[in-house]
Amino acid sequence: MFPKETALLPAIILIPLLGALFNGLFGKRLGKGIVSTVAVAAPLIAFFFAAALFFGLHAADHGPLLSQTSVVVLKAKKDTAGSSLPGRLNKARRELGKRDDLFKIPEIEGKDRNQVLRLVGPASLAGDEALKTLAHRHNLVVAPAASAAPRSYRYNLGTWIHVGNFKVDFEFVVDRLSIILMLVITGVGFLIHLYSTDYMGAEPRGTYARYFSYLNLFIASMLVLVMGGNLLILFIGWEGVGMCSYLLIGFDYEDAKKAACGTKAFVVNRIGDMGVVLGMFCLLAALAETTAGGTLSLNFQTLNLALGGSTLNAGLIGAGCLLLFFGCTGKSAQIPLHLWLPDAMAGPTPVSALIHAATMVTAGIYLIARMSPIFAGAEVIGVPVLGIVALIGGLTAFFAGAAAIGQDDIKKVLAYSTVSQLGYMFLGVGALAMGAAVFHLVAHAFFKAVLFLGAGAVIHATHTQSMRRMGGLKNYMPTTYWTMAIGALALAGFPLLSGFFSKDMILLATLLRAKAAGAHWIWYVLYLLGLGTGFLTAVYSTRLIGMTFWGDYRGGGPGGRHPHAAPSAMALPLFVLGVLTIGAALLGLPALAAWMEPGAEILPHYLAPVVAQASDYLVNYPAVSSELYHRYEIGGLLVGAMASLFGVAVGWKIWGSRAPSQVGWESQVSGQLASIRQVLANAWYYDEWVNKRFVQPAVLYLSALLWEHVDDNAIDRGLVDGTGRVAVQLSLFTRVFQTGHVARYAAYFVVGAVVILASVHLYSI
Amino acid sequence: MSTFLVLLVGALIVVAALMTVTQRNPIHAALSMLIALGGVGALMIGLKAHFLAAMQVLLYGGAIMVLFVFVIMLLTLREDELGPEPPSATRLLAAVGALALTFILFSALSRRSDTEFREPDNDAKIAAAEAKGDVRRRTKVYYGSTEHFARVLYTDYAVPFELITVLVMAAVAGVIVLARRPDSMTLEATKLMASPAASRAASAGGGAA
Amino acid sequence: MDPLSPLSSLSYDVGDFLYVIPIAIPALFGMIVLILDIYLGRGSNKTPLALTSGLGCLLTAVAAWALWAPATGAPVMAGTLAPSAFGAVAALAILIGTTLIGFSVAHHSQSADGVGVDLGRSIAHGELYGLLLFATSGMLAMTIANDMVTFFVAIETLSIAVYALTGVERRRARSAEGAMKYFVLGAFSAAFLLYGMSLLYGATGTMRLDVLAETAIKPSDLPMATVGGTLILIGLLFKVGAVPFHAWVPDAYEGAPSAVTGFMSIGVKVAAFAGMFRIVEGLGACGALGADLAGSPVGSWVLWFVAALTVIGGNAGALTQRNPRRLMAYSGIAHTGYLLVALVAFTRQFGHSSDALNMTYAAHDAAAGLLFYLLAYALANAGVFAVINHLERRGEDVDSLDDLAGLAHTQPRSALVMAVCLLSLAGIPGTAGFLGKLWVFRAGVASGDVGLVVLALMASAISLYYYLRIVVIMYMREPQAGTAGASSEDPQRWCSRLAILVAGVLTIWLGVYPPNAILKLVVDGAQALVH
Repeated sequence: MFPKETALLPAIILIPLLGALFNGLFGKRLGKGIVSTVAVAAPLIAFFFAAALFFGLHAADHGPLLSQTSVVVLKAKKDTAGSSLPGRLNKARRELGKRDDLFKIPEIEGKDRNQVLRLVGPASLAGDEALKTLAHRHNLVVAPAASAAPRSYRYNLGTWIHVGNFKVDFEFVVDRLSIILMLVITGVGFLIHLYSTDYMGAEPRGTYARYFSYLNLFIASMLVLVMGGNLLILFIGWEGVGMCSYLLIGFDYEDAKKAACGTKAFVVNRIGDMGVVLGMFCLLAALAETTAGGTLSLNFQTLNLALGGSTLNAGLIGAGCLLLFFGCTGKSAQIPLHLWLPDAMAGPTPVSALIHAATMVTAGIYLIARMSPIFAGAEVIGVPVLGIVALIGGLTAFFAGAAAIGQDDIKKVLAYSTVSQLGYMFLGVGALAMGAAVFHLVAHAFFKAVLFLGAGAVIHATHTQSMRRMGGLKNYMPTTYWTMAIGALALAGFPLLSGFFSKDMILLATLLRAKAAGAHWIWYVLYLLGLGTGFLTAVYSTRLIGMTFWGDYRGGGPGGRHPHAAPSAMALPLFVLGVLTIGAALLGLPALAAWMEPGAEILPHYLAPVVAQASDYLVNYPAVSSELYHRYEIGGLLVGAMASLFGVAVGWKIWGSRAPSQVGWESQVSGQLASIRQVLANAWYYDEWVNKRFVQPAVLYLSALLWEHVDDNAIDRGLVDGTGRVAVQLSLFTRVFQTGHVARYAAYFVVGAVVILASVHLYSI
Repeated sequence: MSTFLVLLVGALIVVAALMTVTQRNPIHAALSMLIALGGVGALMIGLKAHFLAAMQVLLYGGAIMVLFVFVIMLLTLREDELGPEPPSATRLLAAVGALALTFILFSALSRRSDTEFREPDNDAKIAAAEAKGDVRRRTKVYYGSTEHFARVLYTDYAVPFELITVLVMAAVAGVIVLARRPDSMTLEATKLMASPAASRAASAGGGAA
Repeated sequence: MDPLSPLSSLSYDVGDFLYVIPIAIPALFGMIVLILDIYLGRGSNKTPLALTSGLGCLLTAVAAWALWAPATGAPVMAGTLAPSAFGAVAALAILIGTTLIGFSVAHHSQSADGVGVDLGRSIAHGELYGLLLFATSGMLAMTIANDMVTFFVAIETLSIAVYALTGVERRRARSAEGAMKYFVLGAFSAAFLLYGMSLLYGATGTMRLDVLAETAIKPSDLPMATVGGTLILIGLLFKVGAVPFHAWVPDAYEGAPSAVTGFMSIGVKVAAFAGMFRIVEGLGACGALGADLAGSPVGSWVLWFVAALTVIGGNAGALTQRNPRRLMAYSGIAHTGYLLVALVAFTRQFGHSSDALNMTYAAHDAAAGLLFYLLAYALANAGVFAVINHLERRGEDVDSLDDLAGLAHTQPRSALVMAVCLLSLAGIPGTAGFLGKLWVFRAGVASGDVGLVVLALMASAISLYYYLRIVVIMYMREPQAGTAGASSEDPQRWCSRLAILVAGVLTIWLGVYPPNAILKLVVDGAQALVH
């Protein structure tokens, strides 16, 4: 019944999990060779399995559909007379409302909402005899709905929770969206594991095993996140990656500062997770009303079909989506919860590359893409949720991009850059360009991994993270230089590199969104913000390369050692990722040629069937003609290229020519420039602001209230001690009766007996 | 038995029972109890339970009372050895409790509408048994008679009857345990003898006691 | 059959005598042990006695399982007995107590160095085992008695034996005092029981519980029956040590030697509860539990209050005790309280409530929960007392919790079993006690007594304090010089070590993975009681 490849689903998760277990339990006693072999092999095998699934999916798309859910429409028979079509559809709708196996109350759709009746229900719906009879009675016919999801692999381990009509399966689903992420996670993950074997090589054996155990556990959690078939399984992975991130940021836990950074990341993420949980509740509540007594599940397919575009419970759905997005801002480091990511750089650099740049932080993008049909239609008091998403994304992109310019710590530059790029992705998601966002996600995973790993090699070589003490490394580590330069150019959106196309696609989507009939003017602002961010990105990318590689080496001091080139295990991943950074551009080559349809880019086209498309949901989206589309496309590309090139030029002008000879000239600038630099270096003082407005009051008042008054006085002294005291008093009281006089005992007996007898007897007579 | 007689004997039993618990002198208390037990025997006769009445008088009035009196006389308790009176609060409580119990029981029992004593009708059963050729009930067995009692005790009530033998065994074993010679003496003896053979001899002696 | 044969005058089948076998075996072995003791002589090693009585108990257990478990609870022996799986499970619990306690005192006659013989402390003579077995016989009879006469004789058999056992250690004044108090108050309660039975007979004309259950009592006789039934309940509440009839428990438990305390805490309680459920089944069905109050008989509300008082009183009393036996006495009262929760749930079925079916389910759960709880309680208590007995040699009393200090260092295995059994008594998951509590409390919730269950849960949270305190003392305090815990192990005490091991292993086994055979027996037992 099931294709053979289905068995790979649990295996893909199990392999890194077993790797983590093995290294965690036995790694301490085994040699580093075995530990690293196991640890590196796990994501590699998982990658091969994922690749097998990818090709399997490709082949299966040509086979029959295997789906739990089906969508059918009831439409008018040809040339029928009788009562009007809307009337018949309404009657059929009323009758169908009594069926409890439908996932949502049937809705009348089509032009003027009177053409067809759309039903969402179990797979058997298309062949349902009762339905056919009913349709016949109303002079209607049953037809499969136009859009049908492409094939996906589904593996159900069994029912996990079943309470009343609420049922959650322990299921994994692999479809086009998740397979892309799986390939990135396992592929990039493998390279970073490989890189880590050298990077962490100097650590003692126990630490080494612990590191790889965490790293494998992270891969497993991330896979659970993207493969989970319902929100709850996703949430397991969501929390799992959060935990791994915490463990790895505070990996060097003996350093109190780094441990504190881990705690900060964890706490901020928990605040976001609360949003996810609450959002889940809201969606479930909305589903409960939509299905009216049917089986409730958190299955993505069911949720998307039942709640996507539903006008019932719009408030609940909107609130749920907004809360889920709040969770995304935590995990994906967006305003207002972005402040943990720069601090997360306390972890080992490969960790920053894997978790805090390439994979975990993109979980928010994935979640929204996964539930895009719901997000697309969700509104909160008239404001589309995706508009809020785009706004937050655009603002984050711009402000974090600016902050990146002010950083001296090479990893902090990359951290703010990551925040900024994630903002780009959310901007794309907000503009309903899911494909574009995922394309940027993939491209970003490659080039940001290159940059982080290169930065790691640099740090490894110079033993410092401050770019002020670098410089001139071009000559010492050429491989690192060239790969990082490619990565930085891609990040800067240098024409013809992957970042150029992906950014352009997002900006184009924003522009088209702004052009939509009735669209808010804010979309134009967002487009300009995106463009500005592109410029800023180019500036800080150039600055990064300039301060690190150009000019003379400023570190070491008198008699200091010269930095060494990266060892091969570190160079190989850099090289591979560099190639991927260039190659990824192919995934999103724009549809420039006139004969190409809009949205025909490889990756967006591949994803189109599983994510919501702008044209599906936005009624007022302009029916952009092919011609117009191409015009925008070409114009957008030119404008984007100009912004990027201008940025690179500015960077070259500032850091390429005069900086290298002086140590920290930036700190010598005066006047307004200095204060701007100060603001940027402190990332707009957001941390300080949060600290002053939220953390300190919380510590001062809330925590004092909870600790001293609630916990200490009320709970400890009142409840705990009080209970104890009452119990002890009661105990001493019972002793009073134990006098030892047998006559006294008999007297108690008699009193008890009389009371019992009297109460029974007097009540009964 | 006429209602008057029942009331009279009942009153006697109550008074005697009260005296049993209120008398300070143990002999007086024991004799009051004898009266109460005898009164119960009289009531049994009234209920045509002649065998039980006889047992009541023989066992309680005879054997047990004699044992009580013997023990009391052997101990020759003086006034100060009787121990303190229970605290007056306890006694008050007991009195109130007893009164309340009396009230409750009276209230419960007085509600019975049908207080006539009727002998269970065995005639029909016997006739049916004879019709089936069952010989074991050829003679009419009167309710409460010795024969009836014996028949029921040895057949239907075989289990409780046999269980009583276990009870008596337990009582005997218990008496042996409780009444054995004080250990302090054997302890001294063992210390002196300190050899297993001697101790075995000593234990044989102890067992006989 | 020859009509003139003596057997022909029986009104029941001769085959019914088979059901008496499990009651007869302990009595028989009791006599064997008494005789064997004469040949062993005083002061010798009494291990053979322990082994003999252990064999008797084993045979009894096999017989009970084979003969009673398949029976349906229909009356046999002219209605004096009603064997069923209910009786079989209760019998198992009782026999666990008798065997393990008997084994754990086998070494008591032997002094530590094996040279001198301390007769003064020796309680392990033939009479001890004889009395244990006679009492066991009475207890077993009580679990399947279907007739109030049988019931009363059985309860007196066990009582007389246990009175004597309480005073078995004559050298100590406390032992004699405890025995005296227990005897006087026991006789007092027996009077209530007997008077109640006679009133009930007067009102219904039958002594048989099954007939009683089907008797329609005339309204005018109902008050008499109700008073009679309540008096019986009071007598039984005394036996199980429910507040306010509990005053004897701490004194008797403290006075008796630890072995006897252990036996009392298991056997008497199991038998009394089994008997109580069977009698209440009869009382409730004929309406002798009183008129309806909010859907259930007023008697069950009275039991509600008694249960509440008992869980509070028991746990509160145990909190400040320093003497392990006194502590276990209050702990036993607390467990009586938890079991009374099951009894309350059981009695709810007799009202005319609107959801009678649910109440029947609750009653079924209550009976099954009771049986499982009794097994768990018997094992845990046997374990605790086996360890205490194990330590009480050379005349050293374990009279204070401080005597257990550092036990984990000197005797790690004993300490471990003790800890496991205490956790089981506290109801920690992974032990049999947890499942028992869960089952009983579930019944309480099912019958609608959520308040009572919450109270019991809170009280059992308090109980953690005193149970865990013992564990803390054993594991975290240094051993005191010269205490029982400091003495070395000697090889002759394999009997008591076996008892400790069995109690510990079974407690965990029943808690983690209760065997299906036991669960089936428990459910069958409940089925026999609640149709």
